[in-house]
Amino acid sequence: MAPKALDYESMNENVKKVQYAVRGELYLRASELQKEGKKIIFTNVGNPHALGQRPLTFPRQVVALCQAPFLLDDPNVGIVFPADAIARAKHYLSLTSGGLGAYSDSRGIPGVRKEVAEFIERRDGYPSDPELIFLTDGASKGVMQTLNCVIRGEGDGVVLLFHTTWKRQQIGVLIINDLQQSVAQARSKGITVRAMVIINPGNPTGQCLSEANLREILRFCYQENLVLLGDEVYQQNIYQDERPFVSSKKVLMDMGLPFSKEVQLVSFHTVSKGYWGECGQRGGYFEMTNIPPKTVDEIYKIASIALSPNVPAQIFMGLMVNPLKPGDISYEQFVRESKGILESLRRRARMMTDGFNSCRNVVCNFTEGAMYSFPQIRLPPKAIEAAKRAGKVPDVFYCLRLLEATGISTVPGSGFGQKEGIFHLRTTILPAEEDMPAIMESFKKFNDEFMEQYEDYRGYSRM
Amino acid sequence: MRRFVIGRGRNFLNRSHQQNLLSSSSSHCQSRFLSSTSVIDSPSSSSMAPTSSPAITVDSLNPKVLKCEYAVRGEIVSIAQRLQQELQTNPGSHSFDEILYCNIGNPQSLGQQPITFFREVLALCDHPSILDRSETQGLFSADSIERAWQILDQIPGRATGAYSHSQGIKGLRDTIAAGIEARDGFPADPNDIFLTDGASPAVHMMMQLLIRSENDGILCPIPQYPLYSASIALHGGTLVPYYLDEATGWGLETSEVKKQLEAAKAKGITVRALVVINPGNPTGQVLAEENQRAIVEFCKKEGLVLLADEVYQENVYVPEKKFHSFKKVSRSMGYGEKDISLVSFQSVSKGYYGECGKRGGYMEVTGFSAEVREQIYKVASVNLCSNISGQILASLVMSPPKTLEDAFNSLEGITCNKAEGAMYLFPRIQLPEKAIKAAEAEKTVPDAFYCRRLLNATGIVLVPGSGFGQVPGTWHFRCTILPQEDKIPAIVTRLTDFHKNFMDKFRN
Repeated sequence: MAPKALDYESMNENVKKVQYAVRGELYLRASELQKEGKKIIFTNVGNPHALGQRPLTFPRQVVALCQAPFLLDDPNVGIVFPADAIARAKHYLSLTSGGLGAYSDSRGIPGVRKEVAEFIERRDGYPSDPELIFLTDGASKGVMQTLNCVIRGEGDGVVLLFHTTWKRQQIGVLIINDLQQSVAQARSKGITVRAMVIINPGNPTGQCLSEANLREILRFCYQENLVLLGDEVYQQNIYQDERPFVSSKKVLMDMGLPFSKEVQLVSFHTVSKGYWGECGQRGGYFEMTNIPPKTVDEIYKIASIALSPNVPAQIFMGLMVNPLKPGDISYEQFVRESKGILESLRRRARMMTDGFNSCRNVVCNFTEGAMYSFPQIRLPPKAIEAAKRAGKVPDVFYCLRLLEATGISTVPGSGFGQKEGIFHLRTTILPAEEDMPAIMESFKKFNDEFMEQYEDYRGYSRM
Repeated sequence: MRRFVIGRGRNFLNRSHQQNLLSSSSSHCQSRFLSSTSVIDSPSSSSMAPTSSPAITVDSLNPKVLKCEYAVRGEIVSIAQRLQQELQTNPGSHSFDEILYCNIGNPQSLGQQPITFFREVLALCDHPSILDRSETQGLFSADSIERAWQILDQIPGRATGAYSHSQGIKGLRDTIAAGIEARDGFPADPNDIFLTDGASPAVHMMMQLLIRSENDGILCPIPQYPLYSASIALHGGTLVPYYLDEATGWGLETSEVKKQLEAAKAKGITVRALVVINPGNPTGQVLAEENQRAIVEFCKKEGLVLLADEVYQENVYVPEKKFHSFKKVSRSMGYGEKDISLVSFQSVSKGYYGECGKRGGYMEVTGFSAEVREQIYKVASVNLCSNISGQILASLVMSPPKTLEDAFNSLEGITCNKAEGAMYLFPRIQLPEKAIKAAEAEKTVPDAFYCRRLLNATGIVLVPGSGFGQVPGTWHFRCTILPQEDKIPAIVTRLTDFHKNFMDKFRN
């Protein structure tokens, strides 16, 4: 028999190189343990509903009605669904070309894209063109499509803004110095640097970039001729008041000419995060700024091969950007649910940060935004050696031990990239508020015992 | 008087297709690529002028993107959309009143109604909190409520808004595997199933794994659904065409495939896989089983991965043809995991369900090593998971409510001949001794005893076979096939439950 066409050796090398730690080694080990009956707390991925966050009522009502439009003709529908949900369902169904079961325009339903444009305009104070907004099956697909257009081969580079433990005042200068160094280094190796990615609010760091930061970054992109990819999926998750979210687009437009007409920007958003947390719907969009029409055509061509993004998620997106207004029947309930979630997230952000900071050899910046806590774990040399002996990267070693001891499933910092010799882990702030104290206690117990085990006491007397 | 756009369109398409074949040349793209790699000198932080034209222009895009084409939504559709707008703003501006979109398999945009049961279940899964309310029973059918509960119980925390396992929710994969087994008569493993946002992303995943460079070729039928040519171009591979024979109803000859394979090899191409679309798109042909066996044999011998696009499996319109999955054909030839690498694609977009907008589908992956499987999982995990509603729909499509006849045949001790005409089913039931004795004790004929107990337990009214006459010692009952389609699932469920309890009580 001839050798198999697809075996590990003959596979596309690029696939082999791919790493995705969020559902990698730690997650797989956690799933194994779960099957064996161990209670696992999955804090590896920003997946709020999996940790008990309830979906917002109104959008679910609307989409359920859109799924089953025959209900709209039933005289009893008003007993189970409020009038504004019924009206909204009719509105969205009228925007589709045959209901939820028909492929929409490959860029998404025009009426929904218009609602997205109006949202962006309200948020930023600058006009937005629905023709430059593409809905996608989650923001991830949009990111993949964009990178696929930008990257021609391994000679092309994309700058990723890494987190560092910056002192607040120094951020502007520090970022640019770091960036200039990285870009120069890449170019000296013959790499054409094409794009830069920022995640604001940051994942995993949660840091919110200030307007000044964004201006520096945009200026840098202008100078170095980079397209800026602005991942803004956590824009609703802000837990401090000093630095509210401001979009890259707004800052760019504020900067005026020549920047506002020259800097190329692609901005991403989603229904998976914020206080919606509708990860399972796979709904997202990207907005293009200063991308030439022929390029937009090519991006549309690629979108058309996938035919269309899923229609139910497009309706979730419409509902997210076009929310209920005071006076709507369901408004009060909607506000109550939303505020409840956001305020709880803020409290949990604080609880986790404080909890980590109370642990030995752990330092944790406050989670200003997004959904994660990214404590730095100062691993003693003996622990690093033990990790080497076990054939594991040090933070993987630590996280596996944490998992086995407490059932807390995190993502090692190496999955996100970190400076040499500095270790972190990422957890979400999503476990239920009432479970938080126990989780933090469990972590502290494990950590402090781990540190005790691996700290070098030679030459010190033990108390 | 109406002139259809498509008539003109067909000619236009043919001409533009030919133009595309002539003009697409990688060297053209190559030179544009080379001219655009401007190496930027060290930037001076005091200078504010950009060092060259915008980063992303058509000239500097990934050439693979530029190379790929997708005619289904290409130029013609853009023109059609413009014409449609013109008709709206200026009625009578053309010699036709409306645009008729015959370019794409998008049934519900042309008035096909979705299957009510499916939509009921999906609506309930989208808004599960109404399941706790009694009023919901007035709006939804009993069986859709039951099915929704069943599905929600398979989803951790009943959270339909959470990312699931990257291959899709386990319970739904179990259902799909069972559905594949029922269809083919050969077992299916839920761990072989990867649920995706429609079949297309699954195709892309496989192309990504298989194509290392333009020296890797994928055999594709000509004519083919342009997803394949587009995907191969995007991933930088080479499409190796094999021609279907129009004269013989678009027949697939392995001799032709072999010829193309050899020609490609001679050019230095490593051919990795064979794509077969069955039933065919755009040709509409359904392969004969012996043809399929030849294809399986061919792939096994040549070490090719068989990529079986089977999304139209429920669209077979002629009585003399039947859909056979390539999995079934391979297994019936005695070929298992070690013999043939096979990927089967299915979708919720076609069939009688036509749920294109939902983006639901899966690939069943068999005959690959564990390391390859790990890599497939890894690629799937980067996108986290496919949309949950689509996953649910895929499981519904692969396990639709049963017909009455199917239901009877699946019950212990009951066999049922097919209803070829009239309006009835006349299943035969083997009543256990204990039941016959119990009937005699109540001075009732055994089949009437069964029917009476069934009525009292479920409200279903049948006619005992003894009313019609039957060979002595055999028992039957007559059931009409008239109940409304949407009531049948409930009847099947209640009947099945009753029968199980009856047999548990009276089994010898």
